[in-house]
Amino acid sequence: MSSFTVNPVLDRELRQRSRSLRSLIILTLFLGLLAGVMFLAYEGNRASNQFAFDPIAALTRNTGRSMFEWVLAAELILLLFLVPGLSAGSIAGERDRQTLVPLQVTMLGPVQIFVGKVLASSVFLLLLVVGSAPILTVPYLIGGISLSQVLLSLATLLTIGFLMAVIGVGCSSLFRRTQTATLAAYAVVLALTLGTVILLGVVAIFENARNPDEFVEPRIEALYLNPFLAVADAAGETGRSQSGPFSPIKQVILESQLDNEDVWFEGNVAIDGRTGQVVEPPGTGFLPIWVRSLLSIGLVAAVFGIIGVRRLRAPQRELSV
Amino acid sequence: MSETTALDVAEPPIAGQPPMPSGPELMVSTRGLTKVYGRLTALDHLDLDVPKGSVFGVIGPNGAGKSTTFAILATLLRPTSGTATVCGANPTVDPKAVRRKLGYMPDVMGVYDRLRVDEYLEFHAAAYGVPRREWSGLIDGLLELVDLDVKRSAMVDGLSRGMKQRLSLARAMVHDPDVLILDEPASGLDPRARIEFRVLLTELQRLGKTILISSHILAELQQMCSDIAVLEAGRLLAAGPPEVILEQLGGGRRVTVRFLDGETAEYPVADESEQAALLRRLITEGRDVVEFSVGTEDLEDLFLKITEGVVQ
Repeated sequence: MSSFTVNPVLDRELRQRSRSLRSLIILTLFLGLLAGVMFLAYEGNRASNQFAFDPIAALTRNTGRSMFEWVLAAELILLLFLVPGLSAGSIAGERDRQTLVPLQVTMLGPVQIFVGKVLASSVFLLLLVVGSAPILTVPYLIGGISLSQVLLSLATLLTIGFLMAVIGVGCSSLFRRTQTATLAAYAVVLALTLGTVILLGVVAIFENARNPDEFVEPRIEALYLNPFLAVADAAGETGRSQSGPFSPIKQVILESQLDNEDVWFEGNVAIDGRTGQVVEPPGTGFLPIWVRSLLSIGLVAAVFGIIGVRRLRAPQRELSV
Repeated sequence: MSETTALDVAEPPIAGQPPMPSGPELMVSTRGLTKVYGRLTALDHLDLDVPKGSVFGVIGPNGAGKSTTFAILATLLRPTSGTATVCGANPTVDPKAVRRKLGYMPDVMGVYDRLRVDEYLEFHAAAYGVPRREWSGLIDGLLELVDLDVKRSAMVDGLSRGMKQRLSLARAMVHDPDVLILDEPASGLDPRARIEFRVLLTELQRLGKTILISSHILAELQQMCSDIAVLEAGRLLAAGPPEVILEQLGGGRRVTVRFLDGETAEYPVADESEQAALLRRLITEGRDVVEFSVGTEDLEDLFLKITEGVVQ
């Protein structure tokens, strides 16, 4: 006998997914790709450090962090690719299959249906992220990262994935067709990633045009909606690590904090142009940047959540099937 | 809304308003129910009364407003104006109260893949808030009722269309509703499955359920419905017992006469005495009557007239 008690929609979705080969295939490919990325990062670092004065020390110092950040970046890219695809079909798919109406006339409220759908996507997401944890133990054992950085990064990834699931299910509720909902969800992801980078550039152009003779710090706020900003900051070592996939973002974070135009960057390490000394990162003040970023993305997700729930309400002025 | 209160069984009597009519208890009632989509009026001031325990058939061509009416009653669609009550509750104002008492079977039955028949019913029992301890007995009873007990562990998406329809009916009854709304339940079924479905509805009627049903299988509706409403272009043309409707809308007894010269003619007659008088007259007139047969117009003929725009 089955359960169907906590949230019937969640229970049913999990039951169906557990019988699907698709979940198993996605999990296998996901972990395989991450392991591949980690291996490439290791090999890349080994090759670049073999002519160092002390190759073993250089390997230990840089390789662990580089592997860690490359795996995180790959995991974030995969999640941003997978979650909208998995969640955007959830409600639109019910419409396509003509199963939404029988659900809407039950005692389940729109919030329960919506939450059930989001949780169903998030449980699979949890499986992916937790499944990737053993991969991250390898760079952790090599060194250069702390346990808290690993845990914080995974928690940030999980939160981003959850918020993307909310956005995906929101799109799924908003649009009648699965294809349209999926396209819309990917458009939102594109806006959050590439769109915010373009916004940062546009803001910089306007600021420079307004103050042509002054050094203008980049407006990091333009990137708050970018999931890469949250993960880069949560990964830690901003202003201290030499290279890695998050280096450009960390450099922007650092530039936005330094009130000094006479610096140059090596990786994301700021060097004082006059003294040649490494500039210590000044810190972000009240709330860490990853928190600000997650809160901002959370606001967008909340909007999609509210719209999605409203679209599921019945009776409506027009049938949504 | 004032025009609707006279027969609105949902509301307690209000001072200054006419009392409810005495008569059978109404399970479903609509007053002035109207639904407008842009420039299209899908429902136009529909007044319906569905007595308790009746099998109430709704007929009309495509676009007549049948599904719109059902969608409003099933708490899915908000009317533009007018009111409806189902088991004393207004579907727009208190949808949860209606859902507790109403089972709705839409015209298209969607199914989930990778889900067993018993799990499908358990899921909907949970969604309707049926206590878990009741599921086992409930699902056994429902599967037996719809004759799917041997398919208990089969996957839903592997069932035949007729079985899916019966399962859909079981789903609509999972919370033991007083009223069932069945939108074209027999569409797409083969003759055998239709007969099985009709037997099933007779059983439900015996169990005391009030059933609202729309169908294109009009001969069957005529056989099993205690009342019928005829809709066209969102308007109610007539409502009542099938024989009364046929009489109201120009149906009834017709005599077909074939003469020796090959000519055939049809004569409407009210009763047997008129029938005898017709025969007498024809013979008196010297007509050579070869064949004199009596037939009655049925719902199918009436439906044809409606769709041809003969009945207004």
